[in-house]
Amino acid sequence: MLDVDFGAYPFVTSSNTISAGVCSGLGIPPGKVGRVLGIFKAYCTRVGSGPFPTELCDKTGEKLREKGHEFGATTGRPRRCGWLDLPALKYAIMLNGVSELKMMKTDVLSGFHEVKVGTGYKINNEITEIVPFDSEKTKTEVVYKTFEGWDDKLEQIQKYDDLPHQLKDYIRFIETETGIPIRLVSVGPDRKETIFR
Amino acid sequence: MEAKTDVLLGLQWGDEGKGKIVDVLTPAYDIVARFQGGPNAGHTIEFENKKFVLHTIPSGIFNPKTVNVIGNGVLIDPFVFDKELNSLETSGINIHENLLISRKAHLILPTHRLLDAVYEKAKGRDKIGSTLKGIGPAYTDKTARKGLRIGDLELPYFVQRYQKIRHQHLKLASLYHTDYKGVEIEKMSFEKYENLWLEKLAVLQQFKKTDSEYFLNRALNNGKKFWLKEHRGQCWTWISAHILL
Repeated sequence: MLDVDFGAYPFVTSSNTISAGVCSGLGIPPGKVGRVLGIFKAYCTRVGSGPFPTELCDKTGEKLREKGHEFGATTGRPRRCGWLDLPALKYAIMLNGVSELKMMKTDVLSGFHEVKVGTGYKINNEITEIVPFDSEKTKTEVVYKTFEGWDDKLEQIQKYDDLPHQLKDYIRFIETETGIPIRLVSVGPDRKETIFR
Repeated sequence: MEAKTDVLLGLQWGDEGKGKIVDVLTPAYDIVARFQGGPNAGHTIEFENKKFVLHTIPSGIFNPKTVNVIGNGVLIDPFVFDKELNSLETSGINIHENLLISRKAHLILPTHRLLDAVYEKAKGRDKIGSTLKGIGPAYTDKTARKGLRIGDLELPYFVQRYQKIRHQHLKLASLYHTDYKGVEIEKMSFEKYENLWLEKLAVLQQFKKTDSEYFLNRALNNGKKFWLKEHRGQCWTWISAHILL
């Protein structure tokens, strides 16, 4: 969420990155926009400063960084890593009008004892899914749902049905929560390491 | 028959793997266009044991049948563009035929990168994590109606306008007590970098420049006819947002 209007200002980029930007950034009228395909990583990363509620500043975070080769393509900086942040994902889906999801770097999550998803923010003892106005200064505790991990190597898997059942539970949960189907699961960096549904 | 534009977006803080997805899905589309951002985003594409990192050029470039458009909302740094071009040409990929650049896209000037560094430094502990590629200052000038556009390269007053805005930027930097002579960009002195940057303008000149809004709308409005004639009968255009959300 780095949109200049809807990201955690001022930790944003200087333009509109949401789907509305297509119209002004290319001169295409809104009625000509068809499907909106939203891409997300099976976990979360961020380069540089700015709020990151589900960040893992521990060995698990390091393991994600090592396994996912999470170093910036532009600057080479190590990326901050953490679990999937569902309220933030839902916010992005809402702003962009996402019609289908594509889940990336799923293979990186193999080999963890457990996998977590941030499902809500606890602010002033109240649980909310609303992204706070000033995430940087708002004291936020994340509420997590924990999933059983899996050890299987995913790179060779071609069919969705052959994925480990724990991962399928994870995928189903995200689909139910967001209400948007995950039509593609990426299980490796190569073109071929892609499962379509 | 009218066509529509599919949009591809990252939903987190970048690095979601958009480059790979564009590459996987490109064969189903005739046009891949980028609508915003600039060299702050890097897209890694891997296939056949080769690895490419693209910053400005849309990832549809690996498919010889895809037209790639750099839209008006994008910022272009000729120095970065040239580096990408070289890495693609080294691998035998010719991009001249399949790349269109919007005349209305803005340029990132050497002094934009200088100011990016100056502003980020001045923020001290409140730094926002800029990639220091000049994106913020270039968009600022676009909004302030001072920016230089790709189309300006074709016009006679380009050099004068460049000098004028350069002068303004250096004055701004001096307000922050920064002498440009002490600042390094791409591990070289500002002056050396600027000279290289100016040379690379000629590289940019070799590419097809267009009023891409006409090209895209024509393609969408005459979808079927256009594509059957020009391409392979696909009616979907894919506009990809290469950058972070």
